[in-house]
Amino acid sequence: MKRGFAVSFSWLFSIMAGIAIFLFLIGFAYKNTDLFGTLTSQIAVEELDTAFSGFKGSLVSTNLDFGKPVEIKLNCIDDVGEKIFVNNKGGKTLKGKLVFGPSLMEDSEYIIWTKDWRVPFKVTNFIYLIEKNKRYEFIGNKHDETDISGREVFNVMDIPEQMKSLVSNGGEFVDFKELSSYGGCVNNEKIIYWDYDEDLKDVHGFICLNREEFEFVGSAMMYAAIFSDNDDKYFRCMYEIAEDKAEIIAKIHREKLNLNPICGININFNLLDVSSIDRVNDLVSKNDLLLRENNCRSVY
Amino acid sequence: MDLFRKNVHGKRGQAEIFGLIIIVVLLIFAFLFFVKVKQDDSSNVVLRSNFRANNLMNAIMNVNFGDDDMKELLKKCLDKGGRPAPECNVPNDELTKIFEKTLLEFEKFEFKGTKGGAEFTLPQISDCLEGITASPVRLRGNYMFTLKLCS
Amino acid sequence: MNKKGQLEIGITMMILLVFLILLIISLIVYFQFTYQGIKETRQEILDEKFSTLVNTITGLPELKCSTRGAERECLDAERLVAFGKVVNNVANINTYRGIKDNYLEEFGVNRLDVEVVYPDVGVGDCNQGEYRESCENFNLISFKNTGLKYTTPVSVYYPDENKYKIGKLIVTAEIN
Repeated sequence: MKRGFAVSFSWLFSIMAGIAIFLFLIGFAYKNTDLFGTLTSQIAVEELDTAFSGFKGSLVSTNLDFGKPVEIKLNCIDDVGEKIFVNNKGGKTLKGKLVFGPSLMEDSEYIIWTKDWRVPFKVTNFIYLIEKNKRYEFIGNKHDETDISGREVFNVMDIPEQMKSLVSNGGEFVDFKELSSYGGCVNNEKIIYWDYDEDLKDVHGFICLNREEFEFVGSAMMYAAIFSDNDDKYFRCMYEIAEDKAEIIAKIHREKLNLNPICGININFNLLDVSSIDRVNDLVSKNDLLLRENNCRSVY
Repeated sequence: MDLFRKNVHGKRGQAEIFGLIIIVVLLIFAFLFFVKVKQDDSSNVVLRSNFRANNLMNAIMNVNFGDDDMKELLKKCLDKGGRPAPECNVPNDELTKIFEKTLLEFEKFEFKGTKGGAEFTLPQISDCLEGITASPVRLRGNYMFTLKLCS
Repeated sequence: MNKKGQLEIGITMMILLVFLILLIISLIVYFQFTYQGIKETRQEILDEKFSTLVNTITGLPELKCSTRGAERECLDAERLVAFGKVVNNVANINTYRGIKDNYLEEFGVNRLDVEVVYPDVGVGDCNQGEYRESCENFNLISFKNTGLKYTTPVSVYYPDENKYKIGKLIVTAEIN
């Protein structure tokens, strides 16, 4: 009896030891796979950040194909800035880059496009990151004075075809209305109240997103509103970062003017408000006057 | 005696099982090592060199020398048939100085200007077989300038 | 019999011990390799980042030549001076400190300079005095002097002379 028990005890012990080792190996393999998943996501985030750095300086339109569905989250926190997350595993703060897009995206292919924001001096390139399968439906009446509808504003030559293909029926609504009809943002719809300024040769107006209003100058900001949302105050935060950036560029132009005080005497960058078409046009006209009559160089 | 043999076989069996487990563990680790494959992305290196070549070409074409800029000096050189016209001496000397100051010590280059049959090359004899080429600069009058940074 | 049993248990324990030691050694070696691999990946990513950065900086509206908004492929010497003053200004720390920290965080560099190499100019820092006098170095951002240097040639435009010179944009950064 004892002998038989001793033999089966050995086998039992061997089997239990084997199971314990096997479970340990499975656990180790699982944790390692997760580690590689996190590492891959973090590498993807770093590569995206480097790519965005490049796009910041040049006007591009390109596709990003991951080969399999990838989740990208964009969020923006006051005093910290914009953060991007890939697959909820890798994340990074995008310092100095303004990447606009829906807060939460999941697709295997993404479209990246850049557009320079001018007020009237160039501030930076806005980078738009959108899922290839995302769709936007433009609604709204034709603009009486210029006879251009919202869709036609978006249909201009410098917009690449892959961006225009995002506009179709059945997508997220974007309503375009005349600026003269603006009376505040009363509901949760995405509405662009816009007008075309002949002096600036660009659009301006008000954006309504989640009941919040944003005054804007420049089509780049308008496109930013079209492609983004205001979940968790994302667009509000990005808008403020853009304004801060414009203020820094204005400071540099003002400092540059100090090197030529005679030419810069009537231009006051302190009064510049990059969201106000009147202030922006004032800078444009003063600059033109300097070029024409005072033989000075362009301020910007 | 038989009982003893049986016990020995039992121990051998245990030892064999553990031995097999150790081998499996070592094989798994070896497999995990091989799974981490490094990808050598050479396309990024090419892109960066392209930027350098284009930046340098742009800087060279714009730079002023006295009242002229380098473009004008090179055009005058090619108008006179390229090397060995005396009009090519100044661009030759100045471009040599420029490349010495902007490129790394070991970096070789090939700069060429052509107009019809006229040619100006720097260095005069180049052994640059492969390299990154800047976008060629074409000027009215059938002038063309190229720059290659050798690899 | 008892002794045999004890012996068997002892042998089994020894085998387990050897196995555990082998396992621990393998894990240590494996994690060393993994850590080394991750470190190398980090260096490669940073190397790529700074190489791209050098070219991004040449496109910054803060520094790039423009006339009435229309850009040209050169750096404006006046903007280089103005940028350096705005970022490095110590006279008005409360106003400007945030800007320097912003750029340092954005670029992740130790230093950013533009050095004029052709034609020969004098030596010295262009931000200290008049940049129109002989000086060769525009210091844009300064934090530390250590690190690897990434450079690219640039065209530098002097607006008051209406002349172009050749310079090098130098990014000093650490990748370790």
